[in-house]
Amino acid sequence: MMGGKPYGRAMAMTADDLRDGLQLDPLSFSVGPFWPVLPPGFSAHVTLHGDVIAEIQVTSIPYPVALPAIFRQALEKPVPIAELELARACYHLRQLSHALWVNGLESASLTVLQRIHALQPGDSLAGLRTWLRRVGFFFSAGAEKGVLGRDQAEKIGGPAARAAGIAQDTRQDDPQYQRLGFQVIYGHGSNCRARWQQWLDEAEQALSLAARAREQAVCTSDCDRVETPRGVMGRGGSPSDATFVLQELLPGLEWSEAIATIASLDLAAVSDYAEEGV
Amino acid sequence: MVETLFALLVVLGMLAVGSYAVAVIDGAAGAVLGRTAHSNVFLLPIYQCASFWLVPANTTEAPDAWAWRLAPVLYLTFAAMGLALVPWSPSFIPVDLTTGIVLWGALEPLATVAIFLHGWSANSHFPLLGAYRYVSLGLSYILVSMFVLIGVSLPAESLQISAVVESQRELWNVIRQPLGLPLFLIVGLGISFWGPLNFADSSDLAEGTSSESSGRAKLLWQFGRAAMLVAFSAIGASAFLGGWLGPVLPGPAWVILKTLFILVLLLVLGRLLPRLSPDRFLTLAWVLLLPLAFVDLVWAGVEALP
Repeated sequence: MMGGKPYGRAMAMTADDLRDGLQLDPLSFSVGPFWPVLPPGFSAHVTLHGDVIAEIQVTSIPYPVALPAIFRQALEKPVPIAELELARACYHLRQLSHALWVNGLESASLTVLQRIHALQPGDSLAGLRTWLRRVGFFFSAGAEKGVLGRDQAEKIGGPAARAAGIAQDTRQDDPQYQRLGFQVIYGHGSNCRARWQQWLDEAEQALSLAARAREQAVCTSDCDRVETPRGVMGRGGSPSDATFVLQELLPGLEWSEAIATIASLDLAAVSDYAEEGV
Repeated sequence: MVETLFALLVVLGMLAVGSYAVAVIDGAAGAVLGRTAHSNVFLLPIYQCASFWLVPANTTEAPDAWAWRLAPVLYLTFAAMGLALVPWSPSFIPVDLTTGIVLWGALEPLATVAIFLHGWSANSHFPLLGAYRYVSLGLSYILVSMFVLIGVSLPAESLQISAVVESQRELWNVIRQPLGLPLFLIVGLGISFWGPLNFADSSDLAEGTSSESSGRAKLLWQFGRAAMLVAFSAIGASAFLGGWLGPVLPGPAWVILKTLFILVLLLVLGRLLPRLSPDRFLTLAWVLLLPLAFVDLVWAGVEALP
């Protein structure tokens, strides 16, 4: 006999495979909410065919992420752009370091984390970019997968939307940013590689903006909306959770590609509270 | 009798010292590349061993307990058998089989069995997925390894590892068959699932086959992996870098130096390169590496013609 749940564990039973119609054993299990590879609080029920995701049901969305306090302060009063952009660069690099760790580049991930602690306006990330290109990070697991549709990208917003070619960034409407020569960076492809590059590009841009803003002592002028590293935050609301996108995005992906895709997306809602101690 | 005991001691010593060397070199590579501030790379492996030793063993619901315990022992035994084949000098070879290359070739597929057993017997999804992954990829490493090793035995006209070393007296195989060593290194990372080819115990599977292991069972498994890497490097040093051959220093010193060289190369590569997706590697292995192994074999054959 096959199938059933002996000892409470699902036992394989054949079903049609996604790829070629061969009969394969589906394997169902739950992941999260305390697995460091996934966003904290995220859990899902997954069904695999071989190592390909056949179905994923989100059972718990990630905990809202607390942004550095400066982003919320920017909604109350003008804040120094140098400080805001430095916080943005740190946030993007932290995301990138997690993606590096997930794809087996533990050493590079630690290096990036250490860079964050000593990051200064005007720092160049060219060395890091060259290093990542040379070791083949942009061709590692999942690089060409996790392609977001335009609707999905718009729903997630922020760097993920810009990596999908949507040139929207509230900073372009702020005259102070225009004074600093700000231009929206956007990518093509909308896959994991595009999002990794977007993080790197935006972090580098943020550092150079921060350097110029510090020289000229420029503060933000728009207090209605602020472009956080997670998307647009206004007085009315913060970027909301977009985890359910994964239910459409992941089926058909091989496990490591799916994990790389999750690590390339920042889907949690923004918390009403700021990050402590920053 | 004394000789057998001495050989046994050398193999056991090599297992212990070699695995310690793997941990130290890997720690040093991590410290240099990841700029981590480990207090002391020489003591760190000992602390880690002690912590594994003292941590209580985890268990899952209804594992195949015997198989779960047996798998790390089997894997370590295969590594020890591999190490026993390494010739240290013309006069000292722990196990000098006339079919040494064939035995090493048999150990590689047998290791697949041990890895699958380790993943399957835990009765949990991530170990099982790691095990499946290894089985689906194992054949692509093993085939490449076979062709490359047949390549080195052609000029020796023998399957005996000491004869393969002796055949390199004029020219090492790393120069005579330039494709051989790079291909063999890729196989090494695959068989001991290290670095970019760590598909079975990878971070995206929460350490795959060993995700449910802890304590001494996990220590033994990590020990086995490190020992397999050492065995692989030592066989590689004998097959491609001329084993005991070299000026001034005695034979065993050359074997150690060359083994260390391959170990450092493998461990640094392991730290430097990101993990590919298994799917992509499978394509790469069959479409690129296997044809290259054929080319290596034809090259070796043509070169061996009188």
